[in-house]
Amino acid sequence: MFLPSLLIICYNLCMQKSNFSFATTKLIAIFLSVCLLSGCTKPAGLTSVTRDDLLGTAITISIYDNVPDRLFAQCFDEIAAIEARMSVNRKDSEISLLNENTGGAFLVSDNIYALLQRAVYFSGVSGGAFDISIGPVMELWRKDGHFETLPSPKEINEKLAYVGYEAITFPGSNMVSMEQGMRLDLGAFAKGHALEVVRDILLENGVRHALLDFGGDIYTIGEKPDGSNWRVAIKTPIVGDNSLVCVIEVSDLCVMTSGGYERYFEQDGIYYHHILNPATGYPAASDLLSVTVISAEITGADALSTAGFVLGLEQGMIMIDKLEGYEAIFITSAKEIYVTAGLKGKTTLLNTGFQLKGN
Amino acid sequence: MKKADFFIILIILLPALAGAAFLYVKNNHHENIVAEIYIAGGLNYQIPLSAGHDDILIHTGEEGYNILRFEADGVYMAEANCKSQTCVLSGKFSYPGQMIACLPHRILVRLTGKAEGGIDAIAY
Repeated sequence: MFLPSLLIICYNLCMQKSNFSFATTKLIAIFLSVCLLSGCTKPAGLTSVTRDDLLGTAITISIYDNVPDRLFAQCFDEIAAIEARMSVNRKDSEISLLNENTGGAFLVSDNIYALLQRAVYFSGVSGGAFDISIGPVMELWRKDGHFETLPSPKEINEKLAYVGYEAITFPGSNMVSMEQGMRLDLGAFAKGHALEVVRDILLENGVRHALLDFGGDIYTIGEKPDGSNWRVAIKTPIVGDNSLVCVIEVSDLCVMTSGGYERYFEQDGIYYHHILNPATGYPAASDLLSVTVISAEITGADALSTAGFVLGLEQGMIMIDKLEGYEAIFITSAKEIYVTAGLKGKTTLLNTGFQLKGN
Repeated sequence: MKKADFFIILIILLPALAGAAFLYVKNNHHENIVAEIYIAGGLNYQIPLSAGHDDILIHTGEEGYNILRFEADGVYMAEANCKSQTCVLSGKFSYPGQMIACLPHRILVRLTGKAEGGIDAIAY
């Protein structure tokens, strides 16, 4: 950015001293600008591509190795394919077809089969605080795919009868069975799954340093090109406040956050956010502003951050502590930050309006 | 080379290097952040935040519009006639890696540059 101004400085000087050898000074000015231009290029091999037309969010893939452009196309094609399989907003997606065919066994692709097994596993691990069968209730809160309508208590109670991951069974290879009237909602799970698939594509193609940002869900491949850890900050978990609350250092890990500030609507002065408690059918009302889970297992971290947010600080911390390979950062409504054992001493506070506890 | 030319080289070099050093320090201090504005996937503007800028009015489709406002401490969507208003409510942004997205109008504002404190990514 400062090069044009430098050129102007040099050029003006040339004009002022024009009684000297003008051609020489002009050459020097150009020479200097070229030298400085070559010194301020982007880091070697960094290519970053952003798209805003997939998974209802902005997706950035930044690769710090030299890779062919087709690798980016391959990643985005795969994300589009995942959206086509998993979106409940598409009538022809595999999940929508499954939802229309409850009450018996239904044949699904390898991909969806494996994913549903994991989703049911994490629903169990969280004691149902995360539940992929929240669909019937979630649909009451949505209109045209947007979280924006307040259902009546009667409607919620009726639909809650159809929520319960225990009733999802796998009766045979690639077979999924649900009770009549149940509906899956993989909205929260799709982004994490896409992140995982893109991570695997890049690793298979020999990428050693990359940063994936899927609408604020982060995965870091390897370390930074200089060998240091990536510094991932967490946004202050309050609507409209885009300052950063704390920072952690990671490599080969994902950083997945769930909070009530992401999607919400306001009605009659009451604020309704999009993370529903499967036990009540209403937005989770715990003592937390957000939960961030850090792990190499992306879909697990995705499910557990949602579950942790629903459970609250105490129960959420107990759940994460029991699991191998997961660490978490809990930020409470009292503006206190609690971290699990593996993150102690590795979390740095940035927002002085918050307190880092027991670090 | 003439003796005069040698002096000219010195006269040009010193202010140029001093200027470069000054701009280097200044840019690092003010984080040297650029707002990249993408409309329907294409890069339309690159606005350095440090320089300040008038409002940018973006028309999309037949009736869609957004107003992007630049202030000393960041950039924000001041107005939009989309239904969700997510972009307007998301607030002011000032860190590289942050984005303002108006998905209904396919407008994406991405902040790029080197952050103070070496932040590589922002989770939310």
